[in-house]
Amino acid sequence: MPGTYEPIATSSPTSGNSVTFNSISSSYTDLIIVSSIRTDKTSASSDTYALRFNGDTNSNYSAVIMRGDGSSATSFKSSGTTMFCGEVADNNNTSGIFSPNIVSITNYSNSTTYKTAIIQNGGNNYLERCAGLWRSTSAINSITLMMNNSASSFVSGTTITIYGIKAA
Amino acid sequence: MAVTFYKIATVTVGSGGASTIEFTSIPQTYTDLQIALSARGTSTALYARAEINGNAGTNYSLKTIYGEGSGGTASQNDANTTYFDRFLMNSSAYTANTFSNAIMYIPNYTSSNKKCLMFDSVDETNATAAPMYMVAGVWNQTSAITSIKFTPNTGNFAQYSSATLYGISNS
Repeated sequence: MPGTYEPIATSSPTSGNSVTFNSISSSYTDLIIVSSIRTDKTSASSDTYALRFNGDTNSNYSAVIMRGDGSSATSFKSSGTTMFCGEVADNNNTSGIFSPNIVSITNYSNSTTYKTAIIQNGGNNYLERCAGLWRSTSAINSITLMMNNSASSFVSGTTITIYGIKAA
Repeated sequence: MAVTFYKIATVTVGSGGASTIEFTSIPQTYTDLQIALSARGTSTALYARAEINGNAGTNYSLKTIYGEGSGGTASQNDANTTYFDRFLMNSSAYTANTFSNAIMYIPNYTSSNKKCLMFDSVDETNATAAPMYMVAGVWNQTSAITSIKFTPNTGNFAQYSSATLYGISNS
């Protein structure tokens, strides 16, 4: 059986607060984005990792999140101009800690359905699982991974890789 | 473009059972690791413990979201323990022929940063309640990961328990 898990692109940002993968081939069935994230933020405000598809900055994104902080579990909704992907490690957290984050996007290249994603995140303060929705039928050809806090920048050691998976 | 999701090794427990399932001499040539574990115990084991590089120091911390099919979910913190212990196992008292399942993902396992990982572990047995864990963990060491060992909290792994280690490259 042929293997069907292929790297499309990878980035190791040492500054800035967004990474964009353009011209994503439509030849796969699903996409998986694996990130290991830490930012330089030191303020107490939240540091949310998020994504956008095809440069769409309209309020077409929503997500339901289940979160545990080690003592209680909660669930909440998020909606707006980006898709919530989790609270990630920053310079308030122990040095050397990078949040593992996996985004799985199914049937990303069809032009009929809205696009959904399952997100696993392991922040230093929270553990989260998210179900995300982009209310667009457009095929995904560009993905931007970003920090919603514009004052946050990725630090050295951060890695983001996008993989394509073929059903056959 | 090259395919980069490789099976490194599989361990399947034989008829005599096994006290551990271990991957040693893990190649340092991949970017990430993934492990799929299917486990059942010979006695009353409820968990398998994972130990990295033979390190038994208090260097393992976990945050868990927990549900069991009824009631609400809960979250638990386990800080500075000597292993990752949330890999569910079906004990010998559970429904026959059922095995727990877990998938663990470890990004950047050769880096000089501390090793952060995630795994989900489930224990469905067609009983009224069955636990499910979603876990984020950190091994508070900067060494590259070269070995991973699973050990039941009591007893042995039963026959047909298995684990497969995969390596994933980003180029």
